[in-house]
Parts: sequence; structure tokens; C-alpha cells
Amino acid sequence: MQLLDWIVVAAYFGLIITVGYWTGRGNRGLEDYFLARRSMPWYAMGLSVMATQASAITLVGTTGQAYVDGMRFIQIYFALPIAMVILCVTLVPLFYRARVFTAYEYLEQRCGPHTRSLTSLLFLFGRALSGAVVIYAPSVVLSVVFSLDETLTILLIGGFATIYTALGGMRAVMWVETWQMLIILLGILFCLGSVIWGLPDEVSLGEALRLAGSTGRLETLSFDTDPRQTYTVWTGLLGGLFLMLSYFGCDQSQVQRYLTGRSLRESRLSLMFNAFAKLPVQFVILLTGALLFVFYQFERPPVLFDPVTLAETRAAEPEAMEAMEARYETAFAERRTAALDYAGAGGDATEASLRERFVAADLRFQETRAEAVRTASEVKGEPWSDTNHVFPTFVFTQLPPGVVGLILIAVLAAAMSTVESELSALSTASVVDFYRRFRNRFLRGPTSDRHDLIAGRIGILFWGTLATGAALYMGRLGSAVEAVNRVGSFFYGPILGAFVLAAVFPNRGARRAFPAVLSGVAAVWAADLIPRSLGVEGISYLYYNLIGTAVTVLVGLALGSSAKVRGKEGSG
Amino acid sequence: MDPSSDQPPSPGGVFRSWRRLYAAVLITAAAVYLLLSLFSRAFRP
Repeated sequence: MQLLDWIVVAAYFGLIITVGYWTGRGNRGLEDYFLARRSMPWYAMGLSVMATQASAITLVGTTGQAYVDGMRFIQIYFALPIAMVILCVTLVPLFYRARVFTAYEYLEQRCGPHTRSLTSLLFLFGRALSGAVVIYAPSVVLSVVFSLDETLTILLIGGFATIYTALGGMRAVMWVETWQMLIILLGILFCLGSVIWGLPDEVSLGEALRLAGSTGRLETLSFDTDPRQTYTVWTGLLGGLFLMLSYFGCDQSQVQRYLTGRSLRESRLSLMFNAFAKLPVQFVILLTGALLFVFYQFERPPVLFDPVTLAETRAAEPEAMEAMEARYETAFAERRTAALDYAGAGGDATEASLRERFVAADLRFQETRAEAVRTASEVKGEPWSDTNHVFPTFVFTQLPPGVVGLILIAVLAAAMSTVESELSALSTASVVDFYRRFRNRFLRGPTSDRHDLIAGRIGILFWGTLATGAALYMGRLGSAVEAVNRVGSFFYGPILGAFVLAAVFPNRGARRAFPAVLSGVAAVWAADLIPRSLGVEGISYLYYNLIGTAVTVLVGLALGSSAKVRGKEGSG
Repeated sequence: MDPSSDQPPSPGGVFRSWRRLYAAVLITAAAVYLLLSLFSRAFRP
């Protein structure tokens, strides 16, 4: 990190403090604080929705994934445009006209107060500790890359996001996120440009793509019908559709964005913006990763991308690592020559044999690297991968001062935007769906705007402190937090099922949504647990939402029908 | 817009109705899938 990079980082913090302070003044009540007085334009909502979804791992992990595994990951987003159209036609107008604060509030009107409490509670439980993960994951990467103390990076991301979210409220968060998303987009474009710029002069972009394509890294479509495969067209279109419908239609952190629209038209347009923009953005991120793979054909990459783990592994297994690194060096030199020969082959008769030589050399190189990763895992005593270190290694070893700072603030912006949205959604659900409701009913009657505002701020400070605190102890709580997050993802499908019952079957299944949601959660749990306990590979997790939604709707309809039959028998 | 209204104003620009905008989104998505397929095929050995 050079002085110029620190100036860029300081300018970033200066910008978000200014935007947060300027736009967050004058909050008077909960509608101001949680919904920006329903005054936001579509472009701010659209960019904010995108920023919420883009975590630091999107930027760092996705490029690493494309480097290692290619671009198949893009299929997960195939259903996004379809989901956005469905939501614009169905749930968005319902939410908007019901003038609700939370998605779950709408369910009370159709399914009763218990279903509202249950779905909001499931959201709170599922999301309570995900804040810890979205703070911890980028903090670790940043601390490794900067050689900073992990505690400092966690406090910087978690503490900063908590404080300005609590102070400024939703309007501040959304305008800050708008700027953060613009920074993220700029960072992504700079990354792609830098990788292309870093290719050797004798290798054109077309030749680089040919090299990446020859190892299958540009494969974007897979029509494999095996339901255990995660990244196929079918999981993307079917499983992904239910994932996107659940996430954008029923997750408060997303719903809250488009509830802030100054009109239904603006709310719809914000989702349409995402429907158009998300796939190209994801494509550019993945392409950057695939081209990184080509870049490292000509520039020798470290045998392990994480320098700390590399040093630990070298210290623990000095002789094995020395021998392995010698083999790695030879494998790299062979692959580099083969890559240059294949890139220069101009469609003549030797092209096929040159390609075979390159693919074989790449395989030998990858085997040596896989051996190093295995040794590192053995030294650590747990499965380990350096996928998340590929992109930061490129940034910090190859890019000029200033650009490093820009990419760093893009990663910071992606991390902080997700944290802000989580905190405001958790606070909104806990204050509106529980605190205010029960206080009004059982204690002292309706509250003042000022009281609500203080409750909202305390909510954000509470969830922010919990998330930052859990992130600090993540090293010790790691598996517990991961387990909570894993179980939390089981709730998406059943919650979507409750919304389907409420919106499509208000007179048949909606009143039985409570037991139906519990059945949906049990079904998803079983789909996950049974194959694991039998020691066999289960279906892809992308299908969990489909199962949860289907079981919830079917049980709701069955219970609704039997209640009707009983009602008729009773009255007859 | 009046939130109680059933018909929000059209999306504006070249899209004179919501139906046209939704159709444009879905057609664009289909075109993107096709382009991705062509992209993969173009660089497949």
C-alpha cells in the first residue's frame, strides 16, 4: 500500500461520511428512519438492491472461483430476470399498496398475526448471525492482504457500518449504497482492464480467450440433468428461480429497499434495472477470473495464494514443500511454453496437437498445485482452499498505486453495503414486527415518533454489536455460526410458500400458513439431513427453496381444504 | 402516484406499457442466454 492508495481509502471514508450525514439528517419517525419517507428514485433503489446483494465475497470469491473452476457459476443468475418480472407483477404492488414496513406485516392481513410472527422470527433467526459472516469473511482477506490485525479490520467494517446506519437511517444507507455500488462497478471494470492490460504483448485478447476456453473455463452452460450438480441450466432456471423469488420477494433486507420507492412505478423500475444489469455485471466479474487464469500462464503464481499459509506449510513440511516447489517451477515453465505455442498457432494443422500439449501441461501444473493445497490442509488439520486469495494476490502484486486503493475500497464498499442492509432489516423486523406491536397491545398503547426512532436506533446498535462481536469470536464460534447460517437458508422456501398462500389462495390455504410453513422447514431439513446421515450426496442446495415452497403450499392447501370440509360438515 | 391507484403510470421512455417492458426484459434474458452459449462455443476447442 502506497500513499496514493491510503489517500483513495481516506477519500472513500470521507465520501460515505459526507453522503451519510447529508442525506440522513432530519429523521422524524419510523417511516423516515426505516423507509426513507418512501421518497427514493428507481436508480438509487436499483443500485442499492445490487449493492446489498454484492458482498465482498462476490468480488473476491467469484473471481477466484472462475480462476479455479471457470464461469459455470453464472447459471445461478439465469432466473433473475424471470423472478424480477414475476415479483413486479405480484408481490411488489401488494406490498406497496398495503403500506407495510416489513414483508411479514403483509402476511398478517391474509394469514393472521401468528404467521407474521413466525415468518419474521424465522427471518431474524436465519439472518441474526449472517451479519457476523459478512463482516468476518472480508475482514480476514483484508487482514491477510494488509498484514493487519484481524480485530482491527472487523472493528473497522462492523463498527463503521453500525454507527452510520444507526445515525443516518435508511435514506443515508441507500444513498451511501448507491455510491458504494458505483465504486464497486468502477472497481470491477478496472479489474478487467488491468488483467487484459497485464497480458504479454504477444498474446492478444482473442488468443487469451482461446487459452481459457481450451481448459473449459469459458463454459457458461451445462445441460447436465443430474440434480446433485449445482451449476447447470436446470438448477439455475428452476432452483435459481425459487431462490431469487425468495430472496428478492421475502427477505426483508431486499424488500425494504423497494418499499422506499416514491411510487410503485419507481419500485418496479428498480427491479427491472436489476433484471437487465445483474447478468452482465456477473459476467464481467467471472470473465475477470477466467482471464486471471490466462494471466498466470505467463506470470508465475505462488504455489499457494495465501502467503501466511504458505509460510506455515513451508515451516511444517520443509523437505516436502521444497521438492514440490521444484516440480511446480518446472511444471509452470513447461505450461508457459506450451501456452505461448498454442496462443501463436493460427488455425494450422499443428493447432490440435499444440492444444493437447497445453492442456496436458496445465493438468500437470494443476496437480502439483493441488498437492500443495492438500499438504496445507493436512498442516492446518482441516479442509482448506486458497480460492479467496487469488484475486487479492493479483491486485497487490500486479497493480499500480491508486488502482490498488480503488479495488480495496470496492471490496470494502461491497462488504459494508451488505452489513448496512442486514442491520437495518434486522432492526426493522424486530422493532416493527415485535417491539412496537406488543408494546402497543400489552403495555402503554401507541408510541410517539421520537420513541420509535430511539427504538429503531437501539435495534441497529444491538444487531450491529451482536454481528461485530460474533465476528470477533468467529475463530472460536466458526462452526456454530456456519451451522446457524446453513439452517437459516432452510427458511427461504417455506417463507415464500407463505406468501404464495397469502397472495394466490387467500381463501383456501392462507389461514393454515402457520403449520404449513413449519412443514416446509421440516421438509427442507429432511432433504438436507437424510442424505448426509446416510453418507450419500444429496440434491443441490439450490433445490431446497423449491422443496420448501412446494411443501408449504401443498400442506397449506390440504389443511385449508380439510378445514373447509369439516366446516361444511359441522354446519351441515 | 396515488398509491391506492391500480394502474401505475407506464414505465416511460420507449416502453409505453409495463407489459412491453416485461417482454423486453424476458427477450433480453433469452438473448443473453443465447449470446453466452455462442460465447462458450466460440472458444471451445
